[in-house]
Amino acid sequence: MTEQISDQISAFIDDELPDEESAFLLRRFERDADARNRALRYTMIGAALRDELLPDHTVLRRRLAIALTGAPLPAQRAPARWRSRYLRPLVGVGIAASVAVAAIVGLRALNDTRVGAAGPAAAPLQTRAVDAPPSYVVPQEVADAPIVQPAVRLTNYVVHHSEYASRLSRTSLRSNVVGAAEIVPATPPPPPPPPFQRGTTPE
Amino acid sequence: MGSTEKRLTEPVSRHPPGSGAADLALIKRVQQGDKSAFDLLVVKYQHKILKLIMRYVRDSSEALDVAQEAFLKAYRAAPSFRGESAFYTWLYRIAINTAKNHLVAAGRRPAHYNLDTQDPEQAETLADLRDLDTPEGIAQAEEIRAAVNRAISDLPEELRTAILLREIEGMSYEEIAQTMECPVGTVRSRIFRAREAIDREIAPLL
Repeated sequence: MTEQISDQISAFIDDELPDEESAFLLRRFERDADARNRALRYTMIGAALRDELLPDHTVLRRRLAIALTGAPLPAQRAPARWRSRYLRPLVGVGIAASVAVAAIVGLRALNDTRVGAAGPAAAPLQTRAVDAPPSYVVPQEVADAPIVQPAVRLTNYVVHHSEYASRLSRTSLRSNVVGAAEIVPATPPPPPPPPFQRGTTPE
Repeated sequence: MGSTEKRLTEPVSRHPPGSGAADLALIKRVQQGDKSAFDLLVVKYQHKILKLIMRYVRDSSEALDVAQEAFLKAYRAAPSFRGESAFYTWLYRIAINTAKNHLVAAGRRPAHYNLDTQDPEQAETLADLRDLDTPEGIAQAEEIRAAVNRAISDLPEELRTAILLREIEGMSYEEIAQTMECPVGTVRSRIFRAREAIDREIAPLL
C-alpha cells in the first residue's frame, strides 16, 4: 500500500478527505483488505487514546459478521473454509477407515478365537498322527465332531473291508492304497520259473 | 506552543460524532450492499453504543445481544437513511428503542427513565463497561493501550500535539492549524505520520 493511500485513510477517518477521494477510497476498501484493516487500526488508535477501547474489540463485529453474512470475519474465514472444505471429508474418510480396520481386526480376532477353540481338539490329532505308528484310521475321540464323523465311518469301513476283500476285488484306487500295507501273504510266493533255455525241453 | 498548551487544557467544542462526511460516505456504501463499510461504522461506534445500552441493560451479555440487534436493525434500515440527521444520531435512536423494546419484552423497566433520548452526548459518560471484561480481554486492551502510550511518548512534539488535539480534543484540521500556527496540509501530514508511528506498535498486537 502506498503512503498516499495511508494518508488518505488517515484524513478520511477524520472527516477531512474530499468527497471524490472518499468515494475512491471506499471502493478500494471493498477489495483491499490491507487498506480496510489500516482504517480499523487508525480508528482503534483514537479509541485507545480516548480510553474507549473495548476489552474484546472483535466480539460484536464477529457476531454481526455471522448474523449478516453467515460467515465469520474475513480474517477468520480462511480457517473456517479450510475446516469445512477439507477437514470434514478427511474426518469422514478417517471414520470410514477406522470402521473398516475395526471390522477386519474384529473378524480376524473372531477367526483366531474359533481356530484357537478348535486347536486343542485338532492338535492331539496332529501329534498323534506324527507320534503314533502310521495309521489311516481317524481316532475315535476326534471323530466326535459331527462334521468329520461320516468320513471316519467311511474310512473305517474301507479299512476293514480291505482286510477281508481279495486283492482282485479291490477295484477302487482308495481300496488298493488303504489295503496294500496290511495285506501280508500267508505263504511266500513260488519262485519264478527259470528262463527258457534253447535246447532244453521243459519237464 | 504556548497557545497549543492553553487549548489542550481548555476543553473545546467537539464535533458531534457521526456528523461528518466519512459516515455519510460509509452509509452510502452500505446502502449499496458494502458490508465492509458497515464494519467500519461498527468499529467506530461500538463503544458508544454499548455504553449507551448498558444504561438500560446492566447485564453485559444482554447488552451485547441488544447492541448486536441494534446494529442489525441499523444495517437493515440503512436504505431508509436519508442523511437528514447525523448517522450517529440515527444509530443512537435505534439503539435506545432496541434497548427499551428488549426490556419490555423481558417484562422489566428501564434502569434510567430520565435519560434524554434525543441527546446522544448525554448518554456517553456514566455507563460502565467493566462487566464486559474478561482477563484475556483486559490484558489485550491494556497491551494495546500501553503500546499506544509508548508510541505517543516517543513521537516528536509537533506530531504528538497534532494527534492529541485531533483525537482527544476533537478539533478539525483547520482548528489545529490555527492552534499550531501551521498550514492545514502540515496538520494532515503530522497526524498521518503520528498514526503511522503508533500503527507500527499496535499492528503486531492485533
